[in-house]
Amino acid sequence: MTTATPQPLTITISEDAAVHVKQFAAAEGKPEADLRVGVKGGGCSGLTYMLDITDDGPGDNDQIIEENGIRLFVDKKSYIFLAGTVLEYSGGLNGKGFVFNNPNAKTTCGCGTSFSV
Amino acid sequence: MTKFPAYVDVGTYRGRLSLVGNDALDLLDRLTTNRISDLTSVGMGMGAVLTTNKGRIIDLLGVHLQQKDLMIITSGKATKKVSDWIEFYTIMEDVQTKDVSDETFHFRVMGSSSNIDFIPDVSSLEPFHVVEAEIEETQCLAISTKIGDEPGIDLIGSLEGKDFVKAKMDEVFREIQIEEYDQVRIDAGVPAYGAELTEDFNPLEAGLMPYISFNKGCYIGQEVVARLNTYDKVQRKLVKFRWDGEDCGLSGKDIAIEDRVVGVMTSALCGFGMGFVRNAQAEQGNVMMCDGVQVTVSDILAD
Repeated sequence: MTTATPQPLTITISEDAAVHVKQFAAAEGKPEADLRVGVKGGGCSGLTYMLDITDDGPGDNDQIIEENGIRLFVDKKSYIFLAGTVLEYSGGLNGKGFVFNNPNAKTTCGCGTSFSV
Repeated sequence: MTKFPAYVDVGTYRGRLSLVGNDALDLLDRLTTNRISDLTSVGMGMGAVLTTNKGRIIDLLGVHLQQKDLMIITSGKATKKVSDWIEFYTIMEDVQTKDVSDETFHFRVMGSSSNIDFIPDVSSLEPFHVVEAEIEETQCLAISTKIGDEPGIDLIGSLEGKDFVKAKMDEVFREIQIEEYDQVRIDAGVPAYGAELTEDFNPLEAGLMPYISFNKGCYIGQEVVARLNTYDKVQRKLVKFRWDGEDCGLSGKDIAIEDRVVGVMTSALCGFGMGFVRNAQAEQGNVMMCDGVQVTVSDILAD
């Protein structure tokens, strides 16, 4: 009998989202930049997602995740709220842009950028 | 009834938090109902409600911009809850929250004090705005306040200076105790933590409209508060009651019309009180029953 080893919760970025991050970074004139993901207090439901193209490098308290050619920085406190999240990109006419599929979110507000845990 | 001017020691009845850091204003703006970002210069202040994500009341805060910090005045019993709430939502922000309630005194003067030379004149200031003053060599913050229609002033300073300031106050003002202050509060229709300011009620029901900005953008609870206002979905209103007789124990009791519960008495003393009733019953002069006592709506506090 084999025992499954639980995978550590992490944050993943889909291929499509990674492509769009690179496009945005290039448009900002920072093709080698990284992506900072975080959470801040506020928004209708309590917590709001943050995305930022950064060329400042990681901070002392950051988790660093590399996937699909993107380095993603998350501060430790935000990571608590984001562990297990998949960052995706929803395109097309009805698309919303970057979408956080966050298993920790119990409720989200109408616009989808704010959530509670 | 209490004769003014008088003063009360609200040191434990109110709490005081000091917020420092570059993001303090921005964070408070994202957590409360009012446009805190409008506090652009030292001495400005405003009231704001901290609400849950369901739009229910956590506490009514006084927010005051100082040179060295952002001073938050809370209800005394809510101080830890407010502090914990702010700290929970301090994630990436540069904000440090410190409870300074035990390091500071807090007196509230009620009634006009403009002829008292050592009391700073705040009569021309908007409520919640602040000036710095020195009383008996003690640095104080003097906050313009109102208790109902009565002008007032809050004096806050370092605890070491409390006895000196108190001695000076005793020369010109009568001191009242919290119990008598509560009488003034209820008579003036001022909501209090644990009674009207609880998670059972939303800010629109509790008459806190002056502390809500409807065009500031998102804050925790905003979606619910905005929907209640836009679609006129507020179900209850805070009102004042009067009654004859010596019944003093109506606080917390249901209010009914013909055995149908239509509200609850949240604060009551002997002969007067305040509570929430359904909109249809919130008319001046309406008579209803509370624990066998006939009570009459004397004023509408939430409109």
